Amino acid sequence: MHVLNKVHCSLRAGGVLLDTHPEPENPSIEVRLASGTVVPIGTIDASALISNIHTARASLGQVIASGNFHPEREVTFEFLAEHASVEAWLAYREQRDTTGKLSDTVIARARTLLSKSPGVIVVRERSRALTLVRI
Amino acid sequence: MSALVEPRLDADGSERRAIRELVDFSGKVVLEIGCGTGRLTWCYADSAASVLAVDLREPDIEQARLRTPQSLRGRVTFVAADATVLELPAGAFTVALLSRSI
Repeated sequence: MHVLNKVHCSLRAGGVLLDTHPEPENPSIEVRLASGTVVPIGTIDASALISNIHTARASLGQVIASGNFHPEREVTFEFLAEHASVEAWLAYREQRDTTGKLSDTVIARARTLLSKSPGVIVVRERSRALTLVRI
Repeated sequence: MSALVEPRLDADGSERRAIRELVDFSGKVVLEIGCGTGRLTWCYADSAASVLAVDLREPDIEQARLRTPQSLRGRVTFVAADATVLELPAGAFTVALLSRSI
């Protein structure tokens, strides 16, 4: 059973489904130095994730079209993931089976910047939160 | 495998603010799918009537259980399971939260 059908069965009529997901675009990466300077260093190639996001949006559209939910409100926001070091960032990506592709050039830029000055790596994803009411 | 150094997810709280802007969790019976270590659970659970939080990753659920404040024990339940096959009571929830989980 698709998770949205499961949620539909589990919610009472008038209940609210709140979904958050990234926008279908490549996340940007920056190094934020302790001095306050922010240096953009590239993006993650999130082609596989973007495909999944389009599929998820299609699924949301489907449960609306089928009359199971009606859309209520939505807001956009930026989701920031802050990593303490290049090593911590890469270990997190490996252990979480991150599907996005990261170029060696971007990693090298991060290493160079953080070798000269303390700071953090920030992955920035434009995201959307929306509510649907269960019919 | 080395210990995971966790990033600060939602570092500036934008996602938590968006969620609170969209839904009033007061007195709600909440189903959260893809709860991870409870990162979002803690931003609304204190006002909810009860929370069932589900995630596929057993280690995350163990962490979430360990991090559950005493004040929320008995009100928040963490379960390691695939939500699509988990038996859930029909029509029992007033809010369902899916964060990056569809």
